[in-house]
Amino acid sequence: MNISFGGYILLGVLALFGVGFYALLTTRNLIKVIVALQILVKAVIIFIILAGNLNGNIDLSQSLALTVIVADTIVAVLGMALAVQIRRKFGTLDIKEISTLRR
Amino acid sequence: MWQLFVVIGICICAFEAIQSRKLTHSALWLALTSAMAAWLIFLLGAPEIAVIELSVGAGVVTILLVFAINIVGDVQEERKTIIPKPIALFLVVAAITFLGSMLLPLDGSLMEPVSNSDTFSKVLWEDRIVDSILQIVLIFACVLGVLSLLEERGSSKKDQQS
Repeated sequence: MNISFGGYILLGVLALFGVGFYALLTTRNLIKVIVALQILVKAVIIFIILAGNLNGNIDLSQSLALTVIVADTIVAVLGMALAVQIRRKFGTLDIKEISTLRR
Repeated sequence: MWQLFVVIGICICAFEAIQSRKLTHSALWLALTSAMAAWLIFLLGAPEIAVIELSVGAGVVTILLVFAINIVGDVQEERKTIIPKPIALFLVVAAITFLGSMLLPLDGSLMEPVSNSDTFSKVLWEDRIVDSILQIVLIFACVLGVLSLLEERGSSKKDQQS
């Protein structure tokens, strides 16, 4: 099977996506959820840049990747602020425990 | 050839980031993943985004993560999972197979080559101006959100004192 240069990177992107998706499905720690989301978004950013590289429109893909980076960073910051507040209020970061708590 | 090694390095770092039981180690592996992703993006011909990814992904997000971990405490994560690992593995393999079947082989049939002489700044500030405005709005929303969360913390402290 002959895999091109872009094919190798795409396989890596799929592997990275798989790692992030698996962590998102299995982890119970809120901070780890943010880490999993970051890994997923890294895969998306690399794929956008790869697509731009392959079709020769790298500037458009850079513009789209910039938007993704900004949105991802904001999600991470808000997620961390929420995690800190949840830890202070409930004393745990475990998603399953938080979902069963009653105020 | 360099790209292949960098891709393997990114996958290894990402795997270590989710495998580490200590949150600080996880954050540091994530920073390394970001740094290597920035290197790959640079090798793919997007230096502007590589610099932004390096400074934001490996810099700002890591500092904030370590800061948050210091506040909540670097607890050892339990090995228990939300859903059973075999089911999670099955879902991941199914998702990768679905995506791979749509994208591979990457023979150009998906993406037709286009000729474009625009520069990055022209695309960003003229063609994609709505994106830029949206980013500014998002940043303001983020600042307001974090400030409101901090304010809530301050008011609860006052309640506790009284």
